[in-house]
Amino acid sequence: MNELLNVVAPNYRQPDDIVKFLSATRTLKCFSPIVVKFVGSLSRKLLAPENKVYPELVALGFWLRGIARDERKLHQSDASIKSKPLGLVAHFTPKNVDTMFIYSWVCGLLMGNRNIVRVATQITKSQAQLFIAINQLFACSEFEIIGELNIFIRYEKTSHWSKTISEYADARVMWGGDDSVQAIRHLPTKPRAREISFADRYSVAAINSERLTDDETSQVAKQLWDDTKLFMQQACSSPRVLFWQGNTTDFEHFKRSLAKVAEFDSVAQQQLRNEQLVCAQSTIAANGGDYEFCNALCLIKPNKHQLKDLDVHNGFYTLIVVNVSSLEEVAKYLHEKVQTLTYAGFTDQEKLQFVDDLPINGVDRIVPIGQALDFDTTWDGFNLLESLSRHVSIK
Amino acid sequence: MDTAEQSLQQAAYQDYLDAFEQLYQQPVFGLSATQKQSYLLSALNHLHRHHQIHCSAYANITQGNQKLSQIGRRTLSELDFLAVRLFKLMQLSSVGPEDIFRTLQSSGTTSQVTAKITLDKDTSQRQSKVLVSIMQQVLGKSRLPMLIIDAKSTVQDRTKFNARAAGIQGLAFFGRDHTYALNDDMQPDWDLIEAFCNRHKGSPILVFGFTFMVWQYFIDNLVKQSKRVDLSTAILIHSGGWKKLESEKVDNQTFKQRVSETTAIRRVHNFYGMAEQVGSVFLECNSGYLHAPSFADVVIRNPSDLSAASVGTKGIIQVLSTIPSSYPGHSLLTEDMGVLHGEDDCSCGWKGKYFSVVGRLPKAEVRGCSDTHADDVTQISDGIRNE
Repeated sequence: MNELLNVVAPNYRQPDDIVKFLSATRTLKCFSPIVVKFVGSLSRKLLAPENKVYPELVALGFWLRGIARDERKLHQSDASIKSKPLGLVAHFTPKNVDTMFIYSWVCGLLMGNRNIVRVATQITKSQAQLFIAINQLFACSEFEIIGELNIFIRYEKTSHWSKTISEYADARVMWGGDDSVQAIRHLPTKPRAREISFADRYSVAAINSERLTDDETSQVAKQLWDDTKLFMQQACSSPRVLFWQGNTTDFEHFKRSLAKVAEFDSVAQQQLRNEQLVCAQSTIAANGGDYEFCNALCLIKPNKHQLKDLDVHNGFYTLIVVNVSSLEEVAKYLHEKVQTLTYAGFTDQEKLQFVDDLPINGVDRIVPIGQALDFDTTWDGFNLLESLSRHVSIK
Repeated sequence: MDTAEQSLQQAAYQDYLDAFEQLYQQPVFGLSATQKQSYLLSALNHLHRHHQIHCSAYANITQGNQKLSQIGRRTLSELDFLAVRLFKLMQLSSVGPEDIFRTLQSSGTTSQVTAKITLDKDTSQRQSKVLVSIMQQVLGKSRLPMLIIDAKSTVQDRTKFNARAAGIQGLAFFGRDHTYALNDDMQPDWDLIEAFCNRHKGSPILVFGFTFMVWQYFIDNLVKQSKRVDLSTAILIHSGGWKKLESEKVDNQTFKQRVSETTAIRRVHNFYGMAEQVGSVFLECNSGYLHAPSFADVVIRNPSDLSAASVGTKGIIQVLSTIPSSYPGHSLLTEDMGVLHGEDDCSCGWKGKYFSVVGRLPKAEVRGCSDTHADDVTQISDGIRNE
């Protein structure tokens, strides 16, 4: 039974320890100093020179550094509420995410929980690097307690482990997409166990070029590319649709700026253009319109934009461009699957008005273009720190 | 639609039929570049217009290049092309439901998604007609005794589509005394094979099988069991790709050598084709290269920007065929990689473009947190090529 499972971290643990781990009950206090210290140490390791080639590790490193430095800001502000850990938090991560699961794990960790994290069976270089750092820290005697309360494992989907873990978990964090989440959901849990799911979402960008100078437009183009280039899947937070308010001359200028920065390695990514062609032709088949390649990107301009067009969108640096005459008009294209709206050229007033107009379930984040991938403890509409802790009210 | 418009549409189709007939009269591997370009371009330009009229999805996709529509494309590489995967994502048809004769469904071994190809009687007949013209260039005009390197059960299961069954059925037309060399557990039935060889001793024979089937279940067993069969008068036709043989480091040369050693077969012809363009197969010549027949052509495209690549440059294979009128499959960008070696100057004596298929377009390792359907969606599947 245990041959189907292996322990990724702490690497001194054996698969046979798992059941004992699941039934143990020790937790820490929320924001306990040793945890904060651990987070700081991990951030330093990730920001070390050898990790410069992994931009997502660098981003993670910066975020952890911010957490360690400013953790006081995350504390509960209401004096009559005491935060306590939930107990055991199980994190289920899908196969193609290198490092996103660390965000939810650190949130679980900060709130004093024990954590069991299932990582993907396919390991990538950046993930391997991440676990080297984590294992090095777990091996330090001062962090022994962190190693005792946290475990990262890998097992085949077909094994019984998801079911067993679900029986012990006080909370399940499920990273997407929809199918993976539903598969875990079907497994029974404790009656009071919490569920935090990050299912299929996509994001959009909106630019009002009428308010931007040429230089600013060029800068926005660069930032939009920054938001897109890291994850070729363009899932969750990277924009798949661009709502453009402005004239064609401005758009040509914007395209030229994009072309200057959006480079790709055509030898390493030989399938890119074909993937873009499939998406572009499928989208235009139904709607009419046009498409063009803009260096690494593919810009699709359908005559009309429908939600189901996103079904064939599979990332690969493809942007659907929709002309709008106001931010208000953008609202009618949005719905619950949209996670983030990044913007440039809109006023605070317009943003607030826009939030009021939003359909009830859509858009959990409105941030400037360039910040699409900046993880925050409030994510997908969840305040993760609150969701992964109990609030005991004392009167 | 008024009668004026209707007759314009009939005229467009008739123009295509006339152009196709002209092409059909030409020698299959005897047309030089300038001649071929003129016949082929004429037929393909008419087909393009025909599909724009009858398939709104095709019209939408190609309308961006309207300016060239009036005069028609001047070179083959200017023709619009569809990504072959579109046939898995949507129904692309240029005939009404009442005219559908057959819907071909192709299914790969790993993917759940099937490509659906709509055939009317005309297209289906054209497919057969063309395949016969091409294969007769190596098989001659009479039906040959046929040894099929597969099990009879492969063609008997009608419940689900089977790429190998389709291939066998397509080639069966060229044979008689069809004999299945393998029994149901894929082991050679030596007695049956020997009886077949004895029956047809001294006469020309057709041997057909999928590339990996021939290698793994026939040749490999001959080697393992230190057996030999005398098929010295046979011609081996095979298809399906080399991917499964990659791990064993078997290339075309090794394959042919081993075939010759174990069966004495000297004439071996691979062919490259796909469910999305049945009929216009690309046949391997005596010098080992795949040739475009008169009815079809290839363009190799640079992966970086899909522009036409020069001779000798590896790129994505685009296939052109004058056969499909019931569905817009006349110009397709495949997900295979290949290289063009030249045109009209092949050492084998056949005219036309000659090329090699070098593998598949690499699959992307798509990074991000959604469920990746990348595994399913980027895996091309097809009728004749098998993985």
